[in-house]
Amino acid sequence: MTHNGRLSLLFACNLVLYLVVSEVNGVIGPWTVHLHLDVLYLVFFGLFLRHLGGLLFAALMGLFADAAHAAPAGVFLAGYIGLWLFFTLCQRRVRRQNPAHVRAVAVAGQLLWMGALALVMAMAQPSAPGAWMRLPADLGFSCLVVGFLAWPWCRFQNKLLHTLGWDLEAELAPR
Amino acid sequence: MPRHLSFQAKSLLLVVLLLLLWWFAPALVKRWTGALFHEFQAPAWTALSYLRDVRTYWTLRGHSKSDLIEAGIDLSRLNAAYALRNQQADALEEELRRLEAFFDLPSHPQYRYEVARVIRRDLSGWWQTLVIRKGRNHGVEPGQAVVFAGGVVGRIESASAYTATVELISSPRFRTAARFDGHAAPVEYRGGHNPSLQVATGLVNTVPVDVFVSLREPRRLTSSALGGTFPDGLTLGWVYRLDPAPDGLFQSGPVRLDPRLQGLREVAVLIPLTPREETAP
Repeated sequence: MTHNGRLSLLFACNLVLYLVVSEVNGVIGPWTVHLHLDVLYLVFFGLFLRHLGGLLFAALMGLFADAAHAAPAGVFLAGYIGLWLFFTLCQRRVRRQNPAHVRAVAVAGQLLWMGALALVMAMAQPSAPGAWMRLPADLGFSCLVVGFLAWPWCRFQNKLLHTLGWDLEAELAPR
Repeated sequence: MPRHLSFQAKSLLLVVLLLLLWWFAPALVKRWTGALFHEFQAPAWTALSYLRDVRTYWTLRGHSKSDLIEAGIDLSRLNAAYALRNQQADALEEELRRLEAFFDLPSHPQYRYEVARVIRRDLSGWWQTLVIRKGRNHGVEPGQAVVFAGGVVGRIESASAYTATVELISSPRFRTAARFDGHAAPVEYRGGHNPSLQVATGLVNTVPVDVFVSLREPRRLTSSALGGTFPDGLTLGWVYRLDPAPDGLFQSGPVRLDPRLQGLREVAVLIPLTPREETAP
């Protein structure tokens, strides 16, 4: 299997996660809580891979999210590739083998993304002050879940690539 | 791509290029891309909703026969009550037609109900939408009203072949004309206050000062046909408090919405039997 084939498999896994998250949001909707787990789709592509295919998949995930949410067109596309760039720039400053580092970077990315989304939406809907009251609870809940799931999700994808014959640890050795 | 650039520099360059490409892309391309990606993931949502239906079916299969017999008895009582209400409704409709003909009045718009399952809920603080399992192929068009047993759900925001997106009345972008039960003056309703772990609320503005409400005597806010989307008299919510506006001419206050709105499984789209007349510019 080629590198692109393996990456496509990872992309399919992230698409399944995306559907699962939308299902979970449907279930917890009556409690007026919304989970934003956008970082989970991108953290592995950005933090663990030195491959520009990750950018393509981040853009595709952004287009999927753009089509599914009622935000202005292109917000999720720009946000997701921005997040991918953030994780890529973190590659040299973070020890990817350390779960605490991965969790911390994922939570920081989530905070950045939700802050940016709130600013864009506030500019698009200036007459929606009620949404700001909702933000702290959604932010806290989402960051908690991202912090909990970021490392297991990355480890799963890493092991999947290893099983398929792509040893990232050897490739990511310090240069 | 220059070879001496690091991976991070190449990434930055490509991200900037991609953003510029999107920024300068024609609006038609953006709309087409949105529609394409929406249609691409719609079958997955539909498949998941069918899986939920199968799960519900097998859960119901586990009920005992005595439960089913009790449910059957309850349903037969309800059917009898509804049969009586249908006769009364038929008689009232006949009377209405007779009066309309007598006074030469324009007739009320007629609708048919297209019942649809909810396949996806997206209820964040910034947007509140549902995706339903009926679309253009079933006559669903943007702008049509969506209702449920408790009143108004929202209006169709966009429709594709087999699915449609509904903007809820709790969405911050939702606006419509409304009126208080038993009061003819129109008021403005807007959605948008969805605090965490609480029932969603809306806001009512431009309420005349002769409308009084209190915690003991709340008033029902209903839809108004003035907006052209909803028929008269469907429940939007209940108003428990009204505060005077700074100009002293009107009042405004929060509207408590139906708690079932956030967990709907089935809704009905009101499809006009006669196509809407185009308004002259």
